Amino acid sequence: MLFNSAEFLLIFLPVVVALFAVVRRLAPAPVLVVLLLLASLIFYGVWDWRFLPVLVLSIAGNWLIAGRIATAPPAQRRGWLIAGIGLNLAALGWFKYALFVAGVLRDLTPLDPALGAIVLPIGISFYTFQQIAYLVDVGRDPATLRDPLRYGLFVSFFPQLIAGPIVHHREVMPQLAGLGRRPLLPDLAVGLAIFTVGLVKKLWLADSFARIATPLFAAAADGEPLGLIPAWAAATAYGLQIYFDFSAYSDMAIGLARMFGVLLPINFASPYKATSVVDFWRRWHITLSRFLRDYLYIPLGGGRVPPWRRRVNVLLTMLLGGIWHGAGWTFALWGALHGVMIVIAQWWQARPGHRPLPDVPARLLTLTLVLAAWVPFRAADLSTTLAIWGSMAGLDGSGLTWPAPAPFPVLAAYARLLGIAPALPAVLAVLALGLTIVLAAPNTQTLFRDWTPGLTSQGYESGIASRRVAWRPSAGQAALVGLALGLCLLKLNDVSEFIYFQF
Amino acid sequence: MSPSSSISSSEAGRWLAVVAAATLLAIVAICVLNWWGVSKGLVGWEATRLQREQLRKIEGAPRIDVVLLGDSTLGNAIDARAWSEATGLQVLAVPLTGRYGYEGSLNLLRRVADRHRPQIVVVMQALDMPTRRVSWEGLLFTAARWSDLDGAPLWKLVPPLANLDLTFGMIETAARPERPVLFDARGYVPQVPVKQRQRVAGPSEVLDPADIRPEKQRYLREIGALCERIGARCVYLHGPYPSPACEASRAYRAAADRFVRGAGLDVAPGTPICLPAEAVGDAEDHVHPALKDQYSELYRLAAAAVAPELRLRSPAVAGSRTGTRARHLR
Repeated sequence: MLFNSAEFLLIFLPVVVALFAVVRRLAPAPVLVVLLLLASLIFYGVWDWRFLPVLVLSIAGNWLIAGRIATAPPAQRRGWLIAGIGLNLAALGWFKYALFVAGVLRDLTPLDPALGAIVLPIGISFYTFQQIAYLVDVGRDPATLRDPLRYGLFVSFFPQLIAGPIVHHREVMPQLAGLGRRPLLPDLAVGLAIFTVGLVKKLWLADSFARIATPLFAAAADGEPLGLIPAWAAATAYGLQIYFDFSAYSDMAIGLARMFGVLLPINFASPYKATSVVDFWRRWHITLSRFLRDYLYIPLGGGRVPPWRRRVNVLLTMLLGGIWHGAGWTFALWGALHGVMIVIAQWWQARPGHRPLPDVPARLLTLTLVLAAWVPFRAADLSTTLAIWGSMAGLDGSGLTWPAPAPFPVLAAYARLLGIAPALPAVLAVLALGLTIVLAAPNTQTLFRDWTPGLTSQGYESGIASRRVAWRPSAGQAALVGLALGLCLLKLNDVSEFIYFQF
Repeated sequence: MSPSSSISSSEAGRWLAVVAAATLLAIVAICVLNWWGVSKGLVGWEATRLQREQLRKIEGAPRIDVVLLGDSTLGNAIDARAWSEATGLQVLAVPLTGRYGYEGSLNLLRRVADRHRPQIVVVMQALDMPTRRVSWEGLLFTAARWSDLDGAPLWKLVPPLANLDLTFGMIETAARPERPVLFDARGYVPQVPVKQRQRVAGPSEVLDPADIRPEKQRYLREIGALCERIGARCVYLHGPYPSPACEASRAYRAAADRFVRGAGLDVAPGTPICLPAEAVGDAEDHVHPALKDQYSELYRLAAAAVAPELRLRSPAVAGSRTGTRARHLR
């Protein structure tokens, strides 16, 4: 079930909220935990019932191993921890990387591993990371909270199960003990408002930029030279698409969890306003960054090792972060590219007498680099990546003629009426609007800053700016939210998946 | 994060009530606007424009002896003027698309019956039509009055209207007041030119009788009942289907014939006509435009087997039209 589908919005969510409202009056928190756990398993099973045993087995297996880690003598604890992490990585490796590795072996060696079709269980990358973090923390502190039902719900809680945020057990499990104690209606109101912001981002913004990016990347994959302007338009459109798509999912997850009185961590803090690539990673997919920091970069030595070693660790962390997104050379290249940019930025900033660039050029430079780096993330393969980068460098002309069908027929029709060639101005106007929104409009946590929209992560940006615009429970804003919700419901015939579902 | 402000439950309740009311209002307003746009033919979709043009043909016809109702398989295979010439009857074809289903054909027949008394009603739909879902949008968009909705549940009728694509279609139409002519010389929407043709994945699989939906018969039965009320003979033609899946769907074809007869219509023997690869047009159940005359004649011959009024007025015309292509008849 997609959050932006009629089944979810008109059946699943109202039924679960109604049951939650009734049960919280009659039963204590553990019953509500069971209710939400069952709802989450149904939510997951509706995707594809074959994946449900994988999820249940993963939760049960990790729970049992956590128990062994907690109760084992200190000398054996490490062994159980390594076994637990190994099993999680093996499962992730099998489902996500086996076909890729087999392909590489086939290409580079005489080996020909015969693997059938392996279907990736949706959300496995997210719930595996959450559980690895839990095992590590139980290993560090055996007194870590261990309650099977709350653990099951912490992993499977449907708002964040499929595409994060990657929540930490210390953030969520204590809240689950108090389920139903907060007044329901205020949380429903704030949660619905945040959810609607996410829905608008997905249906009205992300999917619009996809209409520009998808045909251009497809044309490039077919060997069509894009030209300078369409190539930059493709990179920019995809950068906007993935931001609005993924931050929409995070907003929707945060809003949904809030409807049940649970606060989730903030995942985005206006990343395209970053003044360096290092800053970008304090604002983009924050919960993945902090997982990689806490469970990979710091265990590798963090800042306690010599500079050259730290640089290698950064490169390795970002490379693995790239590969976490998908089994393919393009994701590895994207991760490595960010690793190199971070190392250069850190070196630049550490120079004696370093004077930082003023904000505007720093933001512009960072945005340009990040947009260019999205190309391998989206492109079908490395050769398409190189072709688009070539076009972005002006190697095949300015591209004043649009190499793909006009993406906005309504805008194109009006442009034609004005005697303007339809595709280019419509696309540039839409991209300019998108960039204005990401650079100048308040983000979700700024809009809801008075209502604790989510949890912040230490060492990361909150993204909260002081603005006049803020959400208030006024009749006017209710009408606006209702109108936005109505316009989103009227667009449900045109539903597309979230990009991060594939990861 | 700044400290959380508070909101009382009653305040939140009122806020949620206003959200619900505004949401409902937005949906109702768009549904009403779309309904108006569809009824006026202002929606940019070619399908609704086609519907509007077909309604105009019905309103403008001085006399209708034979009416041909159906989907694009009809529009691409039969030329009504050739049937008129061959039979000496006033034949009017008002094909829509498969999206309208039997439901759209029923409402078009109702509109014909309001003004005319046809002797013969020919329904021709894609061979797989009995396997498709009931087309609530077909029923809704072609309805001239509330009774045409046949008590269809409201929750089935709202989704086709609660759709911003229709609204955007109207906005787009407003920017293009002069639209190209819809019909080609043979009376239907021109096929996609060969150079731009990307063969649509069509219904080329072997059809399974188990896929027939019994609920789909409801509106076909109403067509049969309406034919009886107005004293017309109701003939059913299965649209062409590509070889070899066509021949291999023998069990399905027999079940589909029973399905149609059960609704009170006479199935013309020899249909569907199986299409060899060279006779396929821009979709797998569309006859190639160059062969429309021949297939039109073949279908007339098939229909004439159950409706003698459709026999040739002058035998000289027959040979020139059918030629050797009669071998395609089953």
